[in-house]
Amino acid sequence: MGDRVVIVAGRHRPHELVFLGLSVLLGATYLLGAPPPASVVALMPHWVVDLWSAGLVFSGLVGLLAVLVFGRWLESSLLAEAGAMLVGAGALVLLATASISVGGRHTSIFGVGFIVAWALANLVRAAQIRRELVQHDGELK
Amino acid sequence: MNWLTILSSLVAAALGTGGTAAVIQAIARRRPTKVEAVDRLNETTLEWAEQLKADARDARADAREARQEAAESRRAALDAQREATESRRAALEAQREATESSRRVAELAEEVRALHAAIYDPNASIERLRTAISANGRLH
Repeated sequence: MGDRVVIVAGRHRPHELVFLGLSVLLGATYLLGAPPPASVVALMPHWVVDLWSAGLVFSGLVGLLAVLVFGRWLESSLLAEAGAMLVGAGALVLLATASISVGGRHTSIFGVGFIVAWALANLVRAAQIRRELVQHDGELK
Repeated sequence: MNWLTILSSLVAAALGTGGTAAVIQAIARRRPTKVEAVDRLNETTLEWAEQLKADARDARADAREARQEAAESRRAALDAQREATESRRAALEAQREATESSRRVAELAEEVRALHAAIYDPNASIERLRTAISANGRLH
């Protein structure tokens, strides 16, 4: 082994876990009656807003369960995590579009940038999982 | 609704549907994986683990050899101790014999001195000497 340094990184990705938790929290809060973002309300019908909130809860909950609880079923938990990422990305795309459409020139760059970055990260993670699953297809069964 | 909203709604719907389908698929094909413990280890870590195992094996073999050598050394030390004890006993015996011999030589010297004094005594006579020397030839 000589002087080789081996670094074992942590198993969980803290940013992902925190955003999944935030997703559950925000979605549940909106479903329980807290006022959703004004841009979403202004642009979408009420049932779409509810669906959007449910999407946030679903994405966060499934993602957290997949990452933290169902490690024994590796293939399924990865697939579920990828699904959660996609649903989350969908909800975030809606939010970003609503913010840009309603805000116009006064759109908060930071806010929209943050939402787009979050959505992009979700998509990249989903693609990562898909690539791993395709690469190791057969080994995980 | 403008075109951007419609487009983003379509994208969001596609993502949502795809994601939900993936979750349903995940639930449907749920099965324990065979590579439970190894799955999250990459190749370098596995290599490292193999190396560690080999090192541990070598270390165990070294320890076994060291134990054997220590046992042999202990045995040799015990033999040496036993030999030293025997040598000490022999030395003591020799010392005792030497002391005894010295004592007997001193007695004999005393006897010779007395005999010499008796012979050179001005009043010495053959009769007196014969009387002084006992049947076993010793002066008393």
